Amino acid sequence: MKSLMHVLGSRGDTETRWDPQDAGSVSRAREVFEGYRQEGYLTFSVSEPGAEADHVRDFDPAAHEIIVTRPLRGG
Amino acid sequence: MVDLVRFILGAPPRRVRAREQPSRSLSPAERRAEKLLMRCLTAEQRESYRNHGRFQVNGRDGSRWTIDAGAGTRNVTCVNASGARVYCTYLPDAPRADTLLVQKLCIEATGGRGLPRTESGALHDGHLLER
Repeated sequence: MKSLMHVLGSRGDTETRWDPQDAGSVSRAREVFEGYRQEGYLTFSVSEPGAEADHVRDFDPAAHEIIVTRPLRGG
Repeated sequence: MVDLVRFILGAPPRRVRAREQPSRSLSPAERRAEKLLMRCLTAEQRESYRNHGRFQVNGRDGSRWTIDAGAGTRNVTCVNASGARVYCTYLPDAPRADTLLVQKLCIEATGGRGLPRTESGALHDGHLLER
């Protein structure tokens, strides 16, 4: 498994891993990603640890790491 | 004042001491969130966070953002050409480190132009996430 998706939650993050070369794992990760997008979650791609994040709307199987979160609340 | 007294007595400032012993008082969820946050910080940001409980994010537009773990919900300050602005944001029912991480991600993803957040169900400044 080469890629990792973190979904932030009240009990800490949950992880989904996939291998860009493995269609099955890509499909499962895409399903998780799109499910959260439909619920209004924000999705960020990070190319490497410490790198700047990009907001992404579509699942990229080649992404190194994706972080999924509810939006912040505030004024 | 309290930190001054602690300094006179030879004790370290409260926040620094808390950062030196994170695993003793954090729940498993908080520990996971801290670990993920640390992974997502640069070496410079990690050092600042460990030592001072805050770190800086530089926007592509020249803005300078400070995220302070110990400043409650009004913990994000932006300084740019227009002046300084403090943002009140939080991630409900989530480990503190997750809030800090999402604040960092949002600032970076907007290029420093703002901090998207929901208020009364509506997403404010969400358009800033689009390039």
